[in-house]
Amino acid sequence: MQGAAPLVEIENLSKVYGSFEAVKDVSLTVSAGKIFALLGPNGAGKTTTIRMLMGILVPTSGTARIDGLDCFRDRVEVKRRVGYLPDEPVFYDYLRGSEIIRFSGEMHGLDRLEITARTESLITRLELGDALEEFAVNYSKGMKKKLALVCAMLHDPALLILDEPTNGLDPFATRVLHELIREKAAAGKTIFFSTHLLDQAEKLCSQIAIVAKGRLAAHGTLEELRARVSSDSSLEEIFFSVAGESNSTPAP
Amino acid sequence: MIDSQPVSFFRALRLMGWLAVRRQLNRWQSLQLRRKKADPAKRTGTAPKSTGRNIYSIFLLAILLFNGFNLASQGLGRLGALAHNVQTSSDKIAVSAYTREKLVETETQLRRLQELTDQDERQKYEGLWNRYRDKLLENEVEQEGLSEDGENAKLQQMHAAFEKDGAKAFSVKFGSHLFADGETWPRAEAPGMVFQNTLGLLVLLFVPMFICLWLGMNNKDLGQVEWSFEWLYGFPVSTRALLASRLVIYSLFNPPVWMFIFPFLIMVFYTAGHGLASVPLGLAATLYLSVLAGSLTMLLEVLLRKFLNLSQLKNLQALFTVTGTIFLLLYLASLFSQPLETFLVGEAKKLPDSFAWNPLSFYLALGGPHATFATAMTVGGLMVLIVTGTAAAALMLAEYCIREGLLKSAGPYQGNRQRKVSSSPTGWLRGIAANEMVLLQRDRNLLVQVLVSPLIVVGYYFLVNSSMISSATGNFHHAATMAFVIGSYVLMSSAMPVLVRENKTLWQLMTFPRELSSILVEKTRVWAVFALLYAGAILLILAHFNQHLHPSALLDAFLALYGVGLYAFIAAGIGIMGTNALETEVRSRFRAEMVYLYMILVAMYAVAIYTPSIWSKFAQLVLSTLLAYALWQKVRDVSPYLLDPEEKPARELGLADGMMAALAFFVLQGLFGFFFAQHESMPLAMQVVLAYVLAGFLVFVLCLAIFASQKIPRVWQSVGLSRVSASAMPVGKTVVIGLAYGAAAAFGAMVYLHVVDLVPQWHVWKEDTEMSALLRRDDNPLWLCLLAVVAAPLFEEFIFRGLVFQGLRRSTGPVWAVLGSAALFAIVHPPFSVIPVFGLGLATALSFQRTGFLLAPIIAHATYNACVLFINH
Repeated sequence: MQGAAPLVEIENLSKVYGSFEAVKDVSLTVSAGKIFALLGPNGAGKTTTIRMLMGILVPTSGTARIDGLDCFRDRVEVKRRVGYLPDEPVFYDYLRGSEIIRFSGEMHGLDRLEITARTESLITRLELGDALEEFAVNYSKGMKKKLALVCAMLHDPALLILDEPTNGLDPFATRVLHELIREKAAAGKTIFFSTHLLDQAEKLCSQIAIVAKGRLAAHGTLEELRARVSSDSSLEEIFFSVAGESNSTPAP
Repeated sequence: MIDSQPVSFFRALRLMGWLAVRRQLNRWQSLQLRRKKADPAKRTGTAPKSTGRNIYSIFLLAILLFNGFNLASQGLGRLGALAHNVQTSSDKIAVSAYTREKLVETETQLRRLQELTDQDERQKYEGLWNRYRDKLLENEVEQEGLSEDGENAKLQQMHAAFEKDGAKAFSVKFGSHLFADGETWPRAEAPGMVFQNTLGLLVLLFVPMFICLWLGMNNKDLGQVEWSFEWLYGFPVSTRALLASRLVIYSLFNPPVWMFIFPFLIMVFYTAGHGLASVPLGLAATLYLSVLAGSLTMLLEVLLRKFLNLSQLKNLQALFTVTGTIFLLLYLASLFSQPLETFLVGEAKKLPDSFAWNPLSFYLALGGPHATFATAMTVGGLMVLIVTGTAAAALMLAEYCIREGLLKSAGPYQGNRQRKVSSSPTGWLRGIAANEMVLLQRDRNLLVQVLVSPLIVVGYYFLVNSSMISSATGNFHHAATMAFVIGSYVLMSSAMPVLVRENKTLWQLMTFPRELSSILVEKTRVWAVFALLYAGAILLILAHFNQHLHPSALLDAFLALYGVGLYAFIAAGIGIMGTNALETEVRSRFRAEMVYLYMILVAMYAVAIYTPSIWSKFAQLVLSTLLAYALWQKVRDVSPYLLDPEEKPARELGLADGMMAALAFFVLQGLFGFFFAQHESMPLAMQVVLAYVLAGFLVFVLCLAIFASQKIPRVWQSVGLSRVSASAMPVGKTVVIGLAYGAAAAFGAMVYLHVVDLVPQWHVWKEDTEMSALLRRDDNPLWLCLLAVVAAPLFEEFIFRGLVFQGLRRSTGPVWAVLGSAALFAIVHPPFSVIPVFGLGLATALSFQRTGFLLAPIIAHATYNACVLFINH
């Protein structure tokens, strides 16, 4: 980590439903300008962690902070700095894609001219242009993801939180997304995304955290993780060894 | 290579039908799921099956069925009477059914007496019967409420008619049949046909009604083929089986049919004297109609999707909803409304006999005057023929239509080049307001519900109760009340579901840098303005028709409009608190009891507009405003936690607690007062004071116990029972401040009393009140006075300053908190003392604000009480 204060600080974060521990004692930090991947099998607690970062869920214990602001208590301020892409975006009935983009922008305090200016190139790159006059509920899964991505990037946030960003995107769109992520990181923005596609994580990020069954199994850069297993393992091998350990540990 | 057996037509039909039944049952059961978090470890939202719920559902169904029978019975009774009368000339005199029955008996008896040979006996009995008849007629006339002269004239007319024609001169008055029985169907030839044709006309409504209602309301979106249909289409079953299963579902699983039409048809045959056989007859007729309707619905659905595009379908769907609802209401109204029934019978009279054979109503012949076994056979045969014929034809036609695909224009966007639509439909509106208005324009169902349904409901009431028009245009109180009620009805379908509509899209609202509660407030505001415009328009229209307008009309208009605006927030508040944001099945998202709560609150406010008492109006105004505020305080507390199934907001004291304590205080006071009033030995003053003090004490203790059990942090400080910190104002200074404010309030009261004495009517008003009488007596024991002066303030201050004021203070500035708590305090006191007590409320609240310790307002209040008591001695 460089000298800059970390943008995202998660300390002993837990979320418990009755006797089920969805997230247990997760601690990690992300510095500004980095690309961070949260890896894990299904049901590991990735989405729960992300929802706690967005203030949608309330942590049972522990804290999550973005830019020094508590994610739940100061959620309004946090939202100014964050753009969110959910796993399965659902949009309002009876609204066109263009209207949803406009609504998002207005809610972030932008006026219509600014919205058009900022989104024009993005829409062209994602090849959304033709679809925007269609009702968003009629979009295919990938189109909805693209629309949500535009809404997330609209207000140029310092932190992008993406939940399974390439889930549903075709190879063209996936490549565009990867380019976008690299561009944003180069411009000093931070990207935090969750995925279970190991090669994607390996290609893009500088820091990785592996969660399984709600617990943090490993955390660090690719080199640090390699040190744990063997010096030339692929991420896939690291993942199976690390997450496999946690997966075989019986739940308390 | 393929191992499985091909699925036969009937097997497929059976399987798909059973699936539909299972789905519907699950849906009904899940409607009763209450808790926000189901068993957390399972994290599901599905209700477990339980016998308790099943029994409840069965009970509910039984009540609905009974209702259907009741309605049908009354309506048929009335129609039967009308049919009887319509054949004869209108110069018969209308009397109640009972009177007519007795008149017939009288006539028969009198005729029999003619055969008696013994003159004396005959005269005696004749006299008896004549007196009996006179009594009957007198009773009848008395009920009409005529003047003395009018009564005498009417009696003479009745006597003359009876002399001339006997009981035949009288006909049964409309509305006097409470229950139809086996004799209701007119026996005589001509009226029988009229009755049958009347029913035939009525029954014509049913099939279109089913079709419209099903296409309009049961389909989530007519334009999109249900995903289940598409899914089933993927199985190796023939299209014919698929369509047939839909036909069966539409025919048989239709609750409105079974609740309204089935009882009606049973009653039709019952009143024709068929007794128990009317149940299978009614069943046969209902099945006949519903299969007809089901086939046509299935066919129409397929045809419409084939030939129309999405937006045309949406418009048509809204049209279906409106038409279907109108038909349903017309049917219901025809069981109540005199003008409609008279119209029906009149039209039926004009119809030729052959009308009775139209395919939608010919089975009614089974009850009619010509019914014989042969008729029954013919009718039965025809029914079977027509039903099977229609169903088969519908199936084949539908199959032919979809042989090339299900839809004209398809679902998921495939990337065709679209025209660029230049303008937005909302123009100058931004953000949330624009969103809600776009939704209103494009969601035709919402549009219909919000704009048209209130008018339909009002129209229905006008139809049933024709005096409503004259009262709405004659009396502005009525007009204002009506405008308010219509406005509230609009709000019920627009503002109340404000969170329900955010099904699955709540995530996007939570990504914006704005508190969710503030977004919800803005949505509510949009609907408040909308409802205000609607109610305002109605008010203007009604005001135009009102000839004499008082200045009090302005007050009523203001109350009505203020009420509509306020109730937007009450509706939304209740709606939000009653919505389970985690539940995605739309019907179980919302607790239906909340609608009843809302209707009760609307009724309370409507009464306040209607009543002439200004004090009641003011009281209701204050109460409603505080209620809205308390609701939204809770909403603001709860809204960050909406999507979390586990966590809840920390319990904090709020205005709602204060209002409930005040309500409990009021109620307990009444109860104790009533209880003490039974002990007549206790003097009145003692009763009043003891009731007062005991109620206060009980509320005090209960509140503290409850707060302690809820583990509210720092409850003693927040209520003001202990000082906020050791370095706060010293006790002595607190006492002095209390005394000072109390004296100021007492001074204000004295001024008020002097002013009142100056104006004669007000002076009389003052002398009249009970409190003055109590206060002026000299024999009140000292301990009682002390109790009134010291103990009562202790508990009252706890409730109104400790709870209400502090509850308000948590979310608003000192000014509104002081005014609000003083207003609530004032309205729970008798009307005469409202003004000085309001002053006291202000003084005590200000003293509490300054010191933060309940001692100050208690002393202020005690000072005030002592002064007032002293003055009156």
